[in-house]
Amino acid sequence: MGVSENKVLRRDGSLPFLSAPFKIIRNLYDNRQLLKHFIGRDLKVRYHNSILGYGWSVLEPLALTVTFYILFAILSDSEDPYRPLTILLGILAWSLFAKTFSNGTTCIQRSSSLIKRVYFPREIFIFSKSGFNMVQFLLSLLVIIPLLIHYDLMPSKQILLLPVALVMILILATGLAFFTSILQTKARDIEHMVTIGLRISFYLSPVFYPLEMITGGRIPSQYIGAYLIINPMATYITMIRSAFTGAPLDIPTTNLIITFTSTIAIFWMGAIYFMRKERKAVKFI
Amino acid sequence: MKDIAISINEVALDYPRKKKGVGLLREIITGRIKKTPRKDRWFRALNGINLEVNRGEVIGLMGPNGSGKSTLLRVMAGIYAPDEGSIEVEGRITLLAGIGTGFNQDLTGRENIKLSGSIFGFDQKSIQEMEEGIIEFSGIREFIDDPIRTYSAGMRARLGFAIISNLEPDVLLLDEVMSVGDHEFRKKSRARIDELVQGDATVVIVSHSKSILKSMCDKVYGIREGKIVTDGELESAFEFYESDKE
Repeated sequence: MGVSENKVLRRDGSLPFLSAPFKIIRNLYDNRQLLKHFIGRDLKVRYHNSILGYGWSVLEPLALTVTFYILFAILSDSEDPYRPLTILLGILAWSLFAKTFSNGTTCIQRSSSLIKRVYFPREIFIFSKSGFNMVQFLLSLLVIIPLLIHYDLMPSKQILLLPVALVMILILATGLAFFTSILQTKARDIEHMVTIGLRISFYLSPVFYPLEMITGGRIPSQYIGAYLIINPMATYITMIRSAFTGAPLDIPTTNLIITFTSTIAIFWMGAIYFMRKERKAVKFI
Repeated sequence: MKDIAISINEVALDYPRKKKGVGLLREIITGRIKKTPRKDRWFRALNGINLEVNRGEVIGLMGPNGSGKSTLLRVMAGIYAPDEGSIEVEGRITLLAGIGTGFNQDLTGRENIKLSGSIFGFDQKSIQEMEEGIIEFSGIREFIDDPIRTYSAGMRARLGFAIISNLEPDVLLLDEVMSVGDHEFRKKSRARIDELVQGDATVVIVSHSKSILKSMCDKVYGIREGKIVTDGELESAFEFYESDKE
């Protein structure tokens, strides 16, 4: 039989600390089959019983883009040659982050019946949501192709910013979900707090407007550095836009380094927190 | 010398008293002012459990509701990590508590076989090999590509059991599974469980049924308030259980 051979399960009080992220990645690799099945399940459930199926993952961002495009045309007079593309990429990147974060927050609590019956590393649930939303993102990214053709944009070496930004978005959202998924088992308030927090930061991040509107003089320049540090998504969304438009990335290198470091630190701390609290948390579900 | 399959050493486990209402907001607002003492928030569900189960042995656990039987099984299965002490289980462990673990209502029977199989730890290849047998055994080939929310409860149970019966664990933990389903299903599952019990698997059974435990087990332990209170002799466990009822 193909099940892992004669393993010894040993559980006691010892908990990983600094090694937590490595342990998580190891667990992920060992359970990659299961991870694949969970992602497949979510995708199938999503598309199985709807007439439009895949259409929905495209329609939602498109509808939002049209809305904000109109809103923008009314409210703003700024010149952005690629406005629809700017908005669409912002919305796609944001929903990758927001959905990974919010699905991750609730996934442990919602999987209680499974968690109480079978043991496997619980971080699989969170990563399956990250993977699912990544696939969703890549599928809906296809809608930008007509826009790229329309604007005659050919991928340059700037396109390398895309995978970097995507990985960083996933690391950030997963790292945050490590904290909230545990807290959610004890207090169901968390998911509502996450929803509100995401809604607020949606408007405070350059999702449906370009970063230049923030850096372009409307906010006193001494606050811009702080803004970029507090809001890593501003950097990642801008990176994704640059990847397609070929525009140079207008963010100081120091800020980039700080943002990357803080994202990785959030993931690292989240991993430690998750590994140490997960055992206690599953008793609450 | 006998091989030890499960070794439980001074295991203690705390369980939260209230599942809800420990709201974080409330804790932030009231927590500093009125901190509930630890013993009011947690109770000892398991307390100083020591147990060794030899390979191939069949043991039963008996006790009143809430005595910690199911919790002990979950600790053995690795679902709860002990707060004190340690536990070691050798080999593949499967906890059977109900059927249809991991089933998704919107997926078809076939897709659920794959999903459930991977949850129980099978790899792609063995799931593929098992698939035909499972469909055959379940007797619902006609509906296997329909979503299981269209199934009757009986059909779901058959599919669930067909998957379970393909598992060949080294250590099998049974939590009252024999009491689900209709008469025929119970007979079928009982036969399969008998087969596993008579094979070389190590089995731990939680049950309230004296007759089941009597016919299957080499040893039966009585549990009360998170402690093992009898020595494994069948008679003393039954005696304890009877006296406890009164």
